[in-house]
Parts: sequence; structure tokens; C-alpha cells
Amino acid sequence: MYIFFDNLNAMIIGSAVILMLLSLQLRMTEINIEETANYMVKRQGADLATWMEDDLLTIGENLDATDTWFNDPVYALANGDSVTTSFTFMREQETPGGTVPVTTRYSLQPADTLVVDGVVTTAYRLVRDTSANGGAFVNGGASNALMSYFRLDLVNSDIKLVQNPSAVAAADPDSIWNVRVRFALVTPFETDQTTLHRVYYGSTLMLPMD
Amino acid sequence: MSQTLYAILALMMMATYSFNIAQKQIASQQRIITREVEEMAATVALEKIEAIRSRDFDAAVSDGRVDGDAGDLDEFSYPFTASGNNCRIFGGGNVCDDIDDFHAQQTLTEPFVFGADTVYFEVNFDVQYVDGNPLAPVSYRTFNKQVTVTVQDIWPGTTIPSYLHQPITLSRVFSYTF
Repeated sequence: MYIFFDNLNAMIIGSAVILMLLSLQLRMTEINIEETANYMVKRQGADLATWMEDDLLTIGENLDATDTWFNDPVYALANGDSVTTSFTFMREQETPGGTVPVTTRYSLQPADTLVVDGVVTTAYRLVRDTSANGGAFVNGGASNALMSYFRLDLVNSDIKLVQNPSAVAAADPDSIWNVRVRFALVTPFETDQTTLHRVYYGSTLMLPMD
Repeated sequence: MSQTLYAILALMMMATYSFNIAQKQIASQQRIITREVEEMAATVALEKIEAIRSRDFDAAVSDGRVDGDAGDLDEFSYPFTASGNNCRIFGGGNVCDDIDDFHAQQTLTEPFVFGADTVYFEVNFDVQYVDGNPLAPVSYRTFNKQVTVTVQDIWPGTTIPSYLHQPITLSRVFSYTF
């Protein structure tokens, strides 16, 4: 027992040092978790953006200006924002036997509920379905289930939103110039130190012109 | 006595370590935020480029003074005189119906609304004729105009410095076809 009292000073300070060390290690782990989670979601967002850009750049492919290239985006409120819940567009795919009409549909489907920055948030999955030759829609891919915001707008040459774009385009095909896409992904988990709760992506793509 | 010295030494080491961790955390947070601001700035730049892309190549095209041959070159605007425009598509009063009307457009303050937050960007425009291989700015008329959009984050009403150490710059070359 006397050994304990002889080294009381060292015992107290040693304990304090060990507690500080543990606390700092915990902080380090949190920083690494945040960086990794953020990087992974950013990476997945970039991949999603790449295939979505490739897809959207085919809107109206091989179609005449008088054909229907797309249906109006459908909007609804989600997580306090107006989001696009559905968008359908058409193209004609070239095959050895001729062109085949292909319809592609994006739909935003609820997938999970997460607490983001203390707020209960619905996480969505963006599902892509395709239909060839007027047949049934078949699944053609999907995003991860971490989307908290998705907005797809058809805009004019001034990058201003066009209401009822399919009717407007039918009257004047040159009235729709671009597709504007914006989405946000949340990280699958957060720490107390999390800085950024959503990662963002946005792009403006020009519709193919003759 | 030696116990006390060792204890002080241990505490000093821990304080240094703790300071390093705090620095690492700040750097990590700044890196994450900067990456997001870069993404938003690139989005703003691309949107502006796409808006300019939909304009005529030159006022000569808008006015119908071109014939669709190589002789059209002499009709093109040079030097660009439309500096200081405040183009209508960006909320101003000038029509700006061809590409070089955007040259030296007034600095645009662009709010970028993202959920409950808004980030502001200053956007500047530059248009030049380019020629050669690789394309480089020249001081004569060519069939290629390069549009450069520069975007920098600003935080009005605060003392927060810009997260972007250098503004995001996006350039596109638009060519006249005949």
C-alpha cells in the first residue's frame, strides 16, 4: 500500500494522461470516420452523376424535333424541399435491325430514414427503369439509398425554369435548351464532430440539337 | 522531484499532441467545406457557360450580316466594346444576344441556394478570339471565341475569407460554322 502512496503524484498525473490519450484517440477516430464517409459518398455521387449525364445527353436521340422527347417532371415536397419524383424521356436506339424506341424513367423512391444534423430525414433511392419498343419497364440501375434531395428541371436558353415543358416544347422545340440536375447525398452515419451533413452535385446539360 | 519532472514532461507531450489533433481537425473541416464550395462554384460556372452557349456567335449573325462563307470574318465584332454590360439573362438591362456581349460583364453576385443555406459567388466573364494549335488568345478576328468564367465564393456581411484559394475557372471555345 505504501508504494501506492509513495507514487500518488505519478498515479494521478499518469491517469490523467491516459484519459487524455484515450480522448484524443477517440477524436482522431471521429475525424477519420467523417473524412472516409464523406469521401465515399462524394465518390458515389460522382459515379451517379457520370452515368446520369451520359443518360440525359441521349434525350431525344434520333428523334425529330416534332416528336415528344420527354414528359413533364413530377414534383413533390420531400425533406422540406420541392424535389423531382419522376421524369421520363425518350430516344431511339440504333440497332443492326433499325432504330428501337426506348423510354427511360427516373423515379425517386423512399428507402430509409436517417437522422441528419439532428433532423429526421428521408433518404431516397433514384431508380432507373427502361422500356424498349413500348414494352414493360425493366430495372436499369439505381443510385445508393442516401439521396436527400433530387431536382431535375428543364430550362430555357436563359437557364430559367420552364413550366409544363413538354407542352412548351411541342409548340416550340427551341424553347427548351438544357436539363439542370441537382442532388444531395447524406452520409450514412455521423459523428458528434461532423462538419458537413450533405454532399452536393449539380450540372447543366444541353439537350442535343440538330 | 523526478516524478514531478516526468509528470510535467508527460503533460507537455500530451498538450502538443492535443494541439496537433485540433489542427488536423480544423484542416480536415476546411478541406471538406472547400471541396463542396468548389463543386458549387463549378456548377455555377457551367450554368453560365451553357447560358452563353445558346447565344449567336456574333452580332453580325444576329443582325443577318453574314453570308455563311469565309468572308463573314470581316463582319465579326472586334475589338469587343460591350464591356460593363449587365446582361438581361443575369438580371440586368442589356440584351446580350451574342457571345462577346458577355465580355467583361459586370461582376455578378450569384446566390446559390442550397436547402436552408445560401452561398454567394462572384462571377466574372471574359471573351477573346483564339487561334492556333493549341488555341491561344489573339488580337485579331478568328472563327473561334473563348469564353472564360471565373467564380469565387464570397460571404457578404461576415469576415469569413473565401474558402477557394484560387477562383474556379471554366473555359469553353465556341466556333463559327458555315
